[in-house]
Amino acid sequence: MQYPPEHFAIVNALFREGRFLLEGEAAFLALREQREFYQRFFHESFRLQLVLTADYALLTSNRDKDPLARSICIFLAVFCYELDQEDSNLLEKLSFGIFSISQWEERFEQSSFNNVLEATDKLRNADQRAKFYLELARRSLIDRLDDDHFRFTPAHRYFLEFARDLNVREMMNKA
Amino acid sequence: MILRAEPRQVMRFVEDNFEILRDLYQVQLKEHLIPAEAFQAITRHRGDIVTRRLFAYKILREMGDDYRMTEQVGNYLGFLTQEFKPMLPEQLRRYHGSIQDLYGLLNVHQQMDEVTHALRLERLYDEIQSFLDNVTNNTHTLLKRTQQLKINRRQLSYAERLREAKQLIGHYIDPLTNIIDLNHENSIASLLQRIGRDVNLDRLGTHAPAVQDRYEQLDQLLRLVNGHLLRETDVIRRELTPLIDRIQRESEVLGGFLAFLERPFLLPTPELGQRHKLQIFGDQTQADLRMYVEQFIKATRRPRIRLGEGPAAAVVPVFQRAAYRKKLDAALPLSDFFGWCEETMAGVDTADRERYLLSLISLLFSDSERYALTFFPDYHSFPVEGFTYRLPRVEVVGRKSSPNR
Repeated sequence: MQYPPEHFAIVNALFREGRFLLEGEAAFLALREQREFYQRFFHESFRLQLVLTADYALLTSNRDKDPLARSICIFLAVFCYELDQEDSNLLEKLSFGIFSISQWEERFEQSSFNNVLEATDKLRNADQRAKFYLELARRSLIDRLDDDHFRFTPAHRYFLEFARDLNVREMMNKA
Repeated sequence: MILRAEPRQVMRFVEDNFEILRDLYQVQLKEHLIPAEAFQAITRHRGDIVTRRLFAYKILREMGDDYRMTEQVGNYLGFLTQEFKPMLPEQLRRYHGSIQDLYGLLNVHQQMDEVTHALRLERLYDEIQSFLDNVTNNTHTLLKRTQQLKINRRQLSYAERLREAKQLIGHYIDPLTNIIDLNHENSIASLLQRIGRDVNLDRLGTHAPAVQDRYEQLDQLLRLVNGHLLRETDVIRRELTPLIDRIQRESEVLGGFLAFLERPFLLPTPELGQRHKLQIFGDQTQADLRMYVEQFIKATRRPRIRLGEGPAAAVVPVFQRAAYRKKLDAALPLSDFFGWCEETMAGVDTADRERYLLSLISLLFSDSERYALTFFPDYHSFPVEGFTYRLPRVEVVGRKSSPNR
């Protein structure tokens, strides 16, 4: 039996490293072409679901508690809230903007949601946040341009979708 | 009728008091009427004469306790300040009826006197022009409103922004798109297109010069309609809809995140990938590994060498191969090899006899080319330590060709 090309890279990224595969990577293209095979492959082998959109792919594992996912949500929520204070286009800024970690440290310190950050293990202080950025880069959620600057990869939309769904649910609850 | 002033005088008044009029106009835009209190507030610092003239020149009208600006003045101010109340699509749609009616009138009576004919064409022209103006005003007002919503000067919450964006889309933008959609059968745009085609043919008939003129004008206007409406559709498609989509998406995202931050540790989070390191080691591995390694530890354990005084190790005399070879060569030819062995080994310990015997035999066989052997069937015994070999008589003759060493 013949394995699809880039098989190792696909399994390595999605399964071993647990990171997002992004549009533009050779493995992503191969994955998209063999979409059905991999959906079955990951389900039959590990009972994991493959999420594949136009610009990112991800294996989801249904753990009850995932501190990293929660930390990312809190981080992005505070980040978006602060970013919205500027008179700029939020979603475009998220997609294309380049952010300085040191500048954002200041903003986090001053944020009215700082107490939420402090209550989150992975985000509670600058040191922890520095590790958190490393983790984000490892998961391909951000692109680190140098020690201080980063940019979000298209994978951040996965969490924006989550926010939109949540918004819909909240509205339905209130209605 | 304005009895007390010339038009030019009224214009001068408008110019001198433009700020008041603009403020009044804006109040009316927002509140529909100008409430008495607002009126008082705006005109507080002005003399009586100004307020009186506002009424004398029929710029304002009393409506019960409140006031309202005369329609035409309001339109003019709106035009000057480019601020309009967007027309409801229902209001715009009424043009469908009026334009169709006016056009119908042209065709009902074939025998129209030329004055009526010209008048009707003129009115049709006015109506179409008014429609186009209103559409333009509407798109621009909507665009402006949307941009304001985007900048969020009014500090609306995400939910309010979302609601307003939805309202703009539902009440204004979508219906407006339908009205000016050229592909839509019942849209005003396609009605105008049909009229345009007919007018283009009608104007070729014979008409009185006045009527002919009107036809030409109408024809020209209708030719422009398409381009004009396309431009408006473009604004809607390229700017308005994406902008409002963005506001909607943005508000949804922010609203969602804000809802999340209200209960950040309780709400479920999205599922994320997990790192799966390859498990080379399992629970059993350590025990297995120990067993595996231990076999080598045992195998490589060497006998210990004790340094120091102990019972002297037995000295094993080395078999002197070269010396015995010489002895053998000197004794050649031998009629009985083992007999010779017996003699040679006379001084050897019983414990070493076997070793010596085997070594002597190996002299013969390690270099078999040098010796020719003949075996005879008569045996004799050869005792070594513990047991006795029965050995045949072997005759050994040295070979001539072999070099003598």
